[in-house]
Amino acid sequence: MSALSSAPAARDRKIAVAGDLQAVFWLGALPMLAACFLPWVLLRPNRIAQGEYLHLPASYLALGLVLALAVPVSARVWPRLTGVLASVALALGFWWLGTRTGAALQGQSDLARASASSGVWLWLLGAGIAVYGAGVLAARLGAVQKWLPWLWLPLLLATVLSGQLSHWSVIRELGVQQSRFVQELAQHLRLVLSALGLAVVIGAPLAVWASRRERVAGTVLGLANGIQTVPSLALLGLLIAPLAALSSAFPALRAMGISGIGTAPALTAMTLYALLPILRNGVVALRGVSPGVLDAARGMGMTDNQRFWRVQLPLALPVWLSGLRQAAAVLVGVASVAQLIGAGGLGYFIFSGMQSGAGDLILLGAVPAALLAIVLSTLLRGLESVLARRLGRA
Amino acid sequence: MIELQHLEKRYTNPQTGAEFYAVKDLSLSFPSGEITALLGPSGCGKTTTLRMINRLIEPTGGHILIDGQDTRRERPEQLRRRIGYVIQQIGLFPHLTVAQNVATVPDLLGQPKAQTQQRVLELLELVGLEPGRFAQRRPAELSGGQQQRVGVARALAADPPVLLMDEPFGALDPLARDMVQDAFLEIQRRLKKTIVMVTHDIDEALRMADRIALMNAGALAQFGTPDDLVRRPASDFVRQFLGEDARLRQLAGLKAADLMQPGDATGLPQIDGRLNARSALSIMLRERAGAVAVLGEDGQVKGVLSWQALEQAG
Amino acid sequence: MTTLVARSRRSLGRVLPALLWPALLLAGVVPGLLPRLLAPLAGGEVPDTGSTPLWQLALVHLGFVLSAEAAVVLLGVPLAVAVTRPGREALMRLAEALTGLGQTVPTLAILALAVPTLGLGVKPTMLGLVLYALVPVVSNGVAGLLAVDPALKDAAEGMGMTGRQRLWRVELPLSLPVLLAGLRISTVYNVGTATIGAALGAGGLGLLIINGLSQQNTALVMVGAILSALLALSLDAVLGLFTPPE
Repeated sequence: MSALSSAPAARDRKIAVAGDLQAVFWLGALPMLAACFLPWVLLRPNRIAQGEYLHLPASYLALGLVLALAVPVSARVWPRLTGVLASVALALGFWWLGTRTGAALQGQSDLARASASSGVWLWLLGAGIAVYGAGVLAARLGAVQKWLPWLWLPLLLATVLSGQLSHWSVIRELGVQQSRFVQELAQHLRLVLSALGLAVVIGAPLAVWASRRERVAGTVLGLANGIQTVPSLALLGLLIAPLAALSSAFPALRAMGISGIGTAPALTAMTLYALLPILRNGVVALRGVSPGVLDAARGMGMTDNQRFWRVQLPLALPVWLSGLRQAAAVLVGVASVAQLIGAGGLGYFIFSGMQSGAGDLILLGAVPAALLAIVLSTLLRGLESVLARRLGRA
Repeated sequence: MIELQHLEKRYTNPQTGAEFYAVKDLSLSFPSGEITALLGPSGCGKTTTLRMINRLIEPTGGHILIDGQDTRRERPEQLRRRIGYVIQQIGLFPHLTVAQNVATVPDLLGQPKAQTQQRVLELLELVGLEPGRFAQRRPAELSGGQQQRVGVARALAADPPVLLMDEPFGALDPLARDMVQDAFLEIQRRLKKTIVMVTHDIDEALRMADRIALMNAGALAQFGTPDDLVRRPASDFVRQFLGEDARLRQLAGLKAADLMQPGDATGLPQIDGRLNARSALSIMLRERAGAVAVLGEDGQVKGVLSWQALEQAG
Repeated sequence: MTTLVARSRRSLGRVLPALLWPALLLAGVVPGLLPRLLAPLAGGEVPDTGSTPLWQLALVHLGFVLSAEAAVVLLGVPLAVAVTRPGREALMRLAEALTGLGQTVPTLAILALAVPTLGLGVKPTMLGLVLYALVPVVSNGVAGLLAVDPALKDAAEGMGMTGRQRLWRVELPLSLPVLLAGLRISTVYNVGTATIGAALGAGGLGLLIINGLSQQNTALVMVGAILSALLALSLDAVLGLFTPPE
């Protein structure tokens, strides 16, 4: 084994990791090392009671320390292994959360809850940084290694599908509230996507119109900027009175379900909020198309319409899409607050968790909301880069 | 005097481990009080060489001595404060006034404010910028030529014996370049600094340099006076790089008034003494004359420029 | 001449809001004034804003925002400087990835995620405020420092400035406008975050909105909403005086 591995090791030493990347790996190793000595599980007799903190057993602790140190050390001596180690560390964080919560609940009543404690979060943070560093490293090493830092994804999937995490308090909470969770998640998505749709329908033509008129562009952007300045909760609140007045003045609107609280003011506020990024990026993108290209298009005999649809819009689209991405991220956030005016969404769990002092319930709302925002913006970013590459802008 | 001894700069590609020499075994000395041009095609290592002198790039081998002292014996910042530095992008600090820009190095050296202030005014005067009008302006309010004059003043502020210039006039339009080059030569005639100037512009090298070090692929192709290179190229590369019209280019750098001799000017075509020798040559060819009469600024004939004189000069 | 007129008109466009919004805010916190104006919304009944006077709620709110900003300047600027030193590209990309992530994760989620460990009240709100404010300051700081013309850094180094002198004399002054713009964004945004903090029991102007919503008192909600909006607009306009126009 040693004889076989010495040749590639010698070659690897030459491509040893630059100092900046080494620093990233140590930055990841520090929280992981700390996590080994911090409590991993908070065990409580029921979901709001005081509890006791449980640490990792000695064998886990030893393995954790070794793994935490192995990542930065491997980056120095055998960089090809780093991606695998970082991935394993990340997946192992979740696996251990499952086994430790399972072990803690042994012999406890059904009401008992085992939550993740600071150790878990720090470990996941450190391993996440290590995986990130491994991704950068793989890019520097070349094509073959690229997928290795993504190894954690199937490992994590396997951990979840095997039911390993089912003892974790948040999953327990999910089990209790499954139908409500599906309902609120759907409402959250519905709010975000309808507001995004409305903002695009209103904002896109407005941006096209404004991009051709200096003064209009200034006014429209200034207005949208002003709206963005107003705190989201304040905007939600400000819309209650006018919408309530509208619905009492026009019974037809009331019949349609429009009133001062609920979905109507939430959607209105969210649409207004999403308008700014869509307008701003639209105007900037459409104006950013090089005049030379547009001139060439005119010179080839394109009509104004053809010029817009065939040249200006395709070239402006990637930048415009990044505005859509910003809008989506903002909307996921505003939608979580919308529960306060009775519009539902994942905020329901966050606020009822805060009212009852149940941390797990808060997590049940906050973690999916955070993930939703990340997934949405990752998808849109992917679309952006695909389009940008297609259009030769990357 | 700056001496390069077996200077070397080697880069290693981190992925393939392949080695590349930007500069290889370069030995050269730049005489004191003269302008030496580092000339060559792009990628020949001339800028790397220049930046190794003030240790913006650290050599991987060899030595650099300034007045006999190895540059590695002091901290790079100390070294650089004793060496003026002028770059193509000029690099004036946009948030500071012209006067503050010029005062940068004296301030770094902790020189007394009052003395620096006086020095700044002198320097602005020296580079042809009226202190009263320019001292308090921001760089963005100046033209390119004016900016580079400030750049030169800034490099001279601490009265460094050595000046490094990296394509100093490359970003200027032709008219401004001529004027700044003239002004700079005038200053150099008075100050006698030891100047190393990187350029890829053959005309600039022929016109300004006392000596030229022509580089190719990290090594020295030829070192000598402009005349040496033009008349006695050491290799085909030197000949090709300077071009077949090298002698004509050289004439372009000389003034008719500087080459004229006393003589009989009757019947000869007359030219302005401020014209360059190349223009004088083309007038001779057009008029089928063996010589031209050179006029002074007052319009009077000052002397005669003959074919033979041009041949000796170019 | 025309540019002078244009410039003065532009600066008027910046000074006017910086006077108008704070003036309205001051008028709004005059005891009893705003509640009485909004009374028609509550059927003519003057909404009860509680025992704490409005100006005190506004000051508490401002206090949250400004102390978070102070912490952010102390943390974020050195961080932005540290990751933009040469040879730290991977660290800089990590910082950018993390701030990008911070920008994506909803405010309420960040505040709420801190509750299980820090409990309710001021502590999780301050943590959320600092984390959230860190994002634009670090990303603008990094962008500003990176945008400094490499030729200027080269000139500064060639003149014999040490790394620290280059930072203080060249890089920081030149990136200051971008940095200030980031500070402005984060300050304005944090007025909103602090409003939500009221739901965690931190106090401030959000308290009026939360109480109004739970008592179904539209007028009370409007008092809180109008005052927090005015506070945000005031801070935006005042800080706008110190940042260059877009």
